[in-house]
Amino acid sequence: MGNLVKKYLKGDSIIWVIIVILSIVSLLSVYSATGFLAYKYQGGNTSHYMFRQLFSLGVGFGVIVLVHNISYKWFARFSLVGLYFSIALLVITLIAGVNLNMASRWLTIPVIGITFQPSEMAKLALIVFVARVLAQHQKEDEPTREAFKPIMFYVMIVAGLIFSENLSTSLLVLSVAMAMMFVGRVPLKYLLGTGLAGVLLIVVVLLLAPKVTFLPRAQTWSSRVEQFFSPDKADRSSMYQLEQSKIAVASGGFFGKGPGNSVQRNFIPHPYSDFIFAIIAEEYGFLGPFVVLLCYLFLLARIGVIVHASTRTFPAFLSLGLGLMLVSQAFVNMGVAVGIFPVTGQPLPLVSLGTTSVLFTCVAFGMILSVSRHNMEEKEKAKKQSAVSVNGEMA
Amino acid sequence: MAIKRSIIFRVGIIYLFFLGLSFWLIFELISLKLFEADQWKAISHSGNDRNIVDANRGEILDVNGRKLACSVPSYRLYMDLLAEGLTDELFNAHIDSLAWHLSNFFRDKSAAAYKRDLTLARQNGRRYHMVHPRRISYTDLQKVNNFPLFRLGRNRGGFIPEQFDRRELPFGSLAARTIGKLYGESSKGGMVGLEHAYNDVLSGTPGSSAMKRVSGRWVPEVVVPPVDGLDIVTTIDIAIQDVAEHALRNQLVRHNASHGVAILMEVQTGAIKAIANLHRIRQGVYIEDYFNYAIGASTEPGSTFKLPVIMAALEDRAIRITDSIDTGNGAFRYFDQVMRDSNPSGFGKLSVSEIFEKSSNIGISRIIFDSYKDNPRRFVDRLYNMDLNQPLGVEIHGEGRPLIKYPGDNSWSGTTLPWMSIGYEVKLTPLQTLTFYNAVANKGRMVKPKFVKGYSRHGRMVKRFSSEVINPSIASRETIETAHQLLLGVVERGTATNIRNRQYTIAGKTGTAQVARGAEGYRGGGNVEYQASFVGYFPADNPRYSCIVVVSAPSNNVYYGNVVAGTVFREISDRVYATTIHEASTPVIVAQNPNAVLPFSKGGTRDELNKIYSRLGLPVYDKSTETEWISTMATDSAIVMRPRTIPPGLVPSVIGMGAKDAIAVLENAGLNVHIQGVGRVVSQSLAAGTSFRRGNTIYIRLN
Repeated sequence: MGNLVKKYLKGDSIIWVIIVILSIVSLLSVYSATGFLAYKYQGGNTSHYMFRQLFSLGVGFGVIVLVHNISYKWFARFSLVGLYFSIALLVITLIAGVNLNMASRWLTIPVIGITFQPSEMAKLALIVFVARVLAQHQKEDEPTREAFKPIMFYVMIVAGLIFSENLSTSLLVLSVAMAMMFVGRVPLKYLLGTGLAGVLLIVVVLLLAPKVTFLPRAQTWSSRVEQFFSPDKADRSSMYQLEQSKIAVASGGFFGKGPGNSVQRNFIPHPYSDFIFAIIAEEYGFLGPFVVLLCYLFLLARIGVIVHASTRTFPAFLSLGLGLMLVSQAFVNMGVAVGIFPVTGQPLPLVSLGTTSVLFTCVAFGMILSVSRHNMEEKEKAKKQSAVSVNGEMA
Repeated sequence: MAIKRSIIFRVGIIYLFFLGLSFWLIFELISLKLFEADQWKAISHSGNDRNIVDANRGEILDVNGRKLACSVPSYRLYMDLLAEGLTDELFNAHIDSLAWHLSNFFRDKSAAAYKRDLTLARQNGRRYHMVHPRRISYTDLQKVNNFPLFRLGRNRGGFIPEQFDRRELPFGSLAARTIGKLYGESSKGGMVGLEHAYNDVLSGTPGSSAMKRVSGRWVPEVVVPPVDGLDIVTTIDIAIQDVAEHALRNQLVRHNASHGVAILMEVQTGAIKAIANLHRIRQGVYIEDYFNYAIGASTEPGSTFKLPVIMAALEDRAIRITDSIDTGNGAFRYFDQVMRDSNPSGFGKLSVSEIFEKSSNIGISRIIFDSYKDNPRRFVDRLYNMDLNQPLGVEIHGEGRPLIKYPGDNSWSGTTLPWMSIGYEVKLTPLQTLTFYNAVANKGRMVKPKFVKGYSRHGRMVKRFSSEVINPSIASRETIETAHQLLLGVVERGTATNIRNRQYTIAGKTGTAQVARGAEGYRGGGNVEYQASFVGYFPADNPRYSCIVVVSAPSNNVYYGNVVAGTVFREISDRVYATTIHEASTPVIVAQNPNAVLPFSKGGTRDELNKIYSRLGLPVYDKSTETEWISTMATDSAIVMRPRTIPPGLVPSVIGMGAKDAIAVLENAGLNVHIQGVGRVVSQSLAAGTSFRRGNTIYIRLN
């Protein structure tokens, strides 16, 4: 058994453990949180969504196993193609997207009839691309100035295509790209300047929200942000989600109501995705959320280990970018549930119900593990040869 | 190498950023869970939606477990005219037919009037509009539930049926005032009588329910189950109560009296077996709902007070029973006041026992005046020692305070002593007077009147009350024995010979008091008002029951206690003697039919009867199919169940049913029910199958 696991599941074993823990948490909380959906759409078959999530996670697991066996060099090679493909999909979605939940975030693949969010794919493609460009422009004793322009160009395209329908994802993509550039030694003044410009742009959009007719969701953003900064101003109905989420967290108490005993799942919209952290906090008290939080913190720590072990810059930037994407998404989801971020629809990676999210999260995990696997194999080789690395870029 | 170090350093910064974020998150989690928990829980739905589940109010039972008061649910119709789903379209489409149905159902206003009413209420934005003030039964509610709009429920149709528990007194007026009644608002509970006194016991503890999501729907789920109130088992025997009230009513009608009281008490325990308080509302019509005179009306007792007075003198050995006193020519002057005897020419020289038997005012007052004029305190102290100045402390509120003046009081005058000795310038309630006589019957042991025997749940006693002793010995044994002889003499030779009988002996005292009418005094308005009373106990040789009858303001020129009150006493004592005392000494052998193998049973609901038969293992032949109410017949081989058909709109047949089922059927049909007797229904005043008007009264006799 142990050998079998070692044979097929390579790379950082702690990351594998994190994946398993999050999957278990996911199944438990999704089962509890989907009762309402099950009665509405599945005729009371309460385990329907849990099995769907189990299926997604199963396929996702396969995806991780598959992807982490691919050499990361291939990701670099296809990064530009993948990015163009993603941008094309985003454009199509924007024009002909299936309108779900008032946001054109979904695309139905014609033949199979599966809907998925191209933005999930675009995030990955963009991160691979950014990592590659940063790696290409690394020079000893000199900041990576030249990388800024091409990176910003594509980041703006992707973020721009997503932002009209999914502001939070586009901001997330932007932030992750900035963080990657920060780590990739792009001069700080560039990044600060961009940040300032971004903030100004957002403020203008929000202020104009009632008048901007070509951005259908602008009003939602503006009301959410407004209520976040001045809760007493916001009317009760727009406060509702946050309020119900806080009730869930608070009413769970320190020891929780126990698995399946959530009451607030009946009042919180999307308790199985956007607010799944609140349900975990309600049912499992303090321990559940703490374990989930630790999982993501450990993930980031292991990314640090991978970065440290990497002998080249591309795999280091790649694993860091992907890790940051997952972790920041997780922190936004958790932060929304307790009210430290404005209400927004970021899923909790690997935990929230949703096939697209699970699958692309798994692709990201697969890529991270691919880098990790490569590092470990290299170290193994180095040990055997006890020789200095031939490719001395980072030596 | 520099690149790598720089990169690692920058990753470290980012990691620190997320670590900081983690601490913030943990802090928020903990503060939400520990410090802000109450604040958030307070506004949660699960907190707000917690509803109170009312406990069922206990019943009030008579001494044999018959229901004196029980709760029957009724409903009043309200409408939320701004209900979320009640659109203009929906409202306009159905208002006409709803108005028609309402008009047809209540039969008091036209459909147009109902439509106007509801439309106006909608314009005014009424969210809790009373559709009709009348409360309807559960069966009617089922019909109303099907009315247009109403059938859409609360959210779409705006229909709000509000449940009220109506308190039903199955025996009508019998002991109604003592049983008491409830406030209209159910949360306030009992208003008067036992309902008030035992409100806490009867009302039970309400529970709570919360709305819970079950199978995709919100359903109320009991969180804390309510604890139903206990039943109160009173000491009242409804059969005796019936006799007492009946006898009293007849007498009141005959003498056109203003009001009357009759109380029957068990000598040893103080248990009140019957207590009737009738009040005239117009000529010939008396109701038992006005005032609990027995407990609350503190009046001058008149001659019945002569017993404690003479006992005081006997205790002090101020007189002997054989002493004789000259009562003169029927008039005697104390200072500026003249006292008269009932015999206008005077009784002349009388012994003490004759004075008592003939109830000579002059005789009694001279005994007391002569013995105590120098030391009136001693006399009053004697009365106080017999606890006459203390209220009884009965649980039913509103007990009248006894008044016995004390020398030195502002109102104490020279004539107080003689007039007090014949029952004026003192005040006692009928129950207080009875309690005193009861003590004499009980060999000096004064027990507190007892209305409640104990509490029961589902027919089993869970608590029993023992009798409370007020005074273990109000006087010496000798005095008690003398008092007993005096009371016997009243019936044998004195003022109450009219109630003497051969079967059993009665000991008692008549009382005929003039009633002071406020400022006008005793003779205000030209007419004298009297209060006729008789108080005593029987059988005198071994007293079992004591009884007092007080008739106020008999106006047909007959006012003597023996005639007006004594006859009521006799009627009650005869019945009680015949049913409880005499019967108990001669056991009745019930003949049994050896052929009857299968038992006879009352009709009832099919489910309940089936349960019983299957428990007993009896063969059943069910012809009733799906009917709820059935009648049964025992044949040789099996008990046959037949449907008991109750055509809607016609008087249902309840012959053969038990009281509970009969009331349910008749009340649901819209009749007011009056019950007589115990057992199963043998006759009903409105024939089955005839038509009736809602609210008509039906009398059913049980045997």
